[in-house]
Amino acid sequence: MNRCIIQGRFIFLITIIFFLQHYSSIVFAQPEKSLSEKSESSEKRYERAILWGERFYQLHLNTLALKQFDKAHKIKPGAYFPTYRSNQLKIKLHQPKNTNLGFMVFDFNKPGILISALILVILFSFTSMVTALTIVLVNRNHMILAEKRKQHLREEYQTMLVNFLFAKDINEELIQKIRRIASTNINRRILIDQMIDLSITLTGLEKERLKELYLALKLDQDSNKKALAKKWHIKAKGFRELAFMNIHSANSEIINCLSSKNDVLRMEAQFAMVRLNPDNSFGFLDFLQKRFTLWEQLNVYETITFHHLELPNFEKWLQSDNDSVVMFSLRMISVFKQISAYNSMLSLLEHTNPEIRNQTIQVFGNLKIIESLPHLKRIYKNETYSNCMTIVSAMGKMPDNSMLSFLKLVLDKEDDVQLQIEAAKAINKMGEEGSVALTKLLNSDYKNYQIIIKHVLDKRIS
Amino acid sequence: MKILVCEDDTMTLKALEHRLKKEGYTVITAADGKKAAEILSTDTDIDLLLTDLHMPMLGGLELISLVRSNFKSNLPIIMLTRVGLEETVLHAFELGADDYITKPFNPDELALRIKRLLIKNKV
Amino acid sequence: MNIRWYDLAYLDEISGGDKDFILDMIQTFVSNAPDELNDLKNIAKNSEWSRLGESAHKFAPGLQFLGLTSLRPVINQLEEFAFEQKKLELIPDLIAKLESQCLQVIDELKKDFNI
Repeated sequence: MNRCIIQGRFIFLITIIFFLQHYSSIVFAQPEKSLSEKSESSEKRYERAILWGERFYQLHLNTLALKQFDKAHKIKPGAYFPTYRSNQLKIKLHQPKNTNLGFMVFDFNKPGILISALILVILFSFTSMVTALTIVLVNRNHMILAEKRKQHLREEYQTMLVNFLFAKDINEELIQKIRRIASTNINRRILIDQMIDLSITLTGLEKERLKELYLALKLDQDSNKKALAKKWHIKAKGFRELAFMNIHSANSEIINCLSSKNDVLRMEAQFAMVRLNPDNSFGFLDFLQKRFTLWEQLNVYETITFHHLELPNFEKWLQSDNDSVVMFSLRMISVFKQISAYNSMLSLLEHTNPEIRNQTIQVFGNLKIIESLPHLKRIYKNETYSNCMTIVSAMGKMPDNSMLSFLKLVLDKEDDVQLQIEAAKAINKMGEEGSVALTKLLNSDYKNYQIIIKHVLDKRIS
Repeated sequence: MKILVCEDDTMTLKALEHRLKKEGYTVITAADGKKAAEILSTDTDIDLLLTDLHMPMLGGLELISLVRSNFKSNLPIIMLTRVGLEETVLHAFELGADDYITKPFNPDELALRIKRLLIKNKV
Repeated sequence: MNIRWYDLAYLDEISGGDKDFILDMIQTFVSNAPDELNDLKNIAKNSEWSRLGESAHKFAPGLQFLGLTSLRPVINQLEEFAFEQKKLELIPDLIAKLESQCLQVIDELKKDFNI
């Protein structure tokens, strides 16, 4: 409708300009010839024609000027001046310097085709802008209304579902209402979303009833369709829906996507596998080729803790070729205190990846596996600076007097202050023997330990 | 020697005609550029054009341009102008004028300039 | 001794002493000047300023030939005000001054040369 109004106004404007142009021609037009004028001598008519022609020429009314000079030429064919002016005007009128829109002539002194093209571009741009603006505004309003409606439906459906799930008796009317909702596409989508949201918080009988309803309404077909879609974001949604509803129909597709290049899709597939395979939740770790990112690891960890899934023995992945899987397993061993993995972890102290060695040392410290102390002492001298720090820190977490001389050696031999501080801290945690050793060192003249030991002993610093 | 004098002011035209005739030249007069163009189109014996710059119906500048492009390209042209129109004079030179003289003109100076140009042109 | 506004020295110089020519020029001025002055007044009345400037410019040579140098500044101002369309309220006075002096000169010329 807006477009029609704009076009209508444009046509009106053009009509006004046309009439103005026509009116201006009338104003400048020659007065009507009377009988007396017709009988004037040809000389006077010639002079008159020349006079008017020159006037029009000065006003750039070229077509009118040409008419007058042609008239003068007819009266005096041999006269030079009208012929001269006519030729000039013919050249002007035929040169493509003017833009002639039929009812208007503009002289921009540029090629006519360029001017016409520019005018068309301007008109097109203006119309496009107005059209685009109209479309944007209309769409925006539409989206706001749609969102309001969706929100209203979400609340309505949630209430309906809760009433259904927690009802003592079967409410046929409610069931029929839900069936009717599930018959339209848009409403189905909102219903599925609400059911998924509910499934996160439900447990036990109510969860089972929800799943039954889901299957009865054939909503699993929608989720399957999504899981098999080409677009990754639809696929991911499908996986999530099937996982929450514990429906295994798309398991093969989920397995395929475990090594997807798309990070989000891969993560959703992992999450779905964890939920859908309680006996082998972490089976995907066996054949995970890509790097198991920190974000994915966090997501899986959250799934485990939030949904209280059965924990596997993470020791079996300590020998994985995928270093990120090894790192994840070490972290899980540490968090879930799987001390039984000690022997497997020992071999990791010889791993080529210093980060894995570092993580292993941290796990020993966190789990306070004192048996690891001699091994940590053994590897110290060949380790990287960062790993040396971790070793000394781990020794501090599991204080043992057998390491006192080693730590004193570290304090004495190392030039790095941070390492010395860590060693002093570890000694300090060794109880009475440690305190005595530190006091002795404090009083020693041999090396200036005062600052380091005072810093460690300062109770203000935790 | 035939000189075409183009000047819209009657008194100036008469003065010029009288003076030039006294110098022995054949003088043809035109009161505007249009008439001068008509004369030039038919009479090929004009030896010099003496024209005012500001005239109705084909001004002096246009007349100079017309002479150079359509008629005798080597016809000597002297402009008549008044003081303070240096830019117009320069433009006239660009279009092909050979000399100029300011109004009110000094008759001896005018005669000398005409003579000099005619001799130069003959050579 | 009669004091005259006009001065025929320039005309004398141009004509080389040709009295007939001088008389012809005087007659041209006497016959054309009144009409030209009326034109000036009418154009100023119609406020056609650029036409007024052009007409004033055309009027100037006649004054030069008759040595009316005192009117030169009047004509110059008239041209300037008309072309630039400034101080338009002074134009009627300028035209009046021009007319009065020219008519006086015409009177003198008519008397002196029995025109």
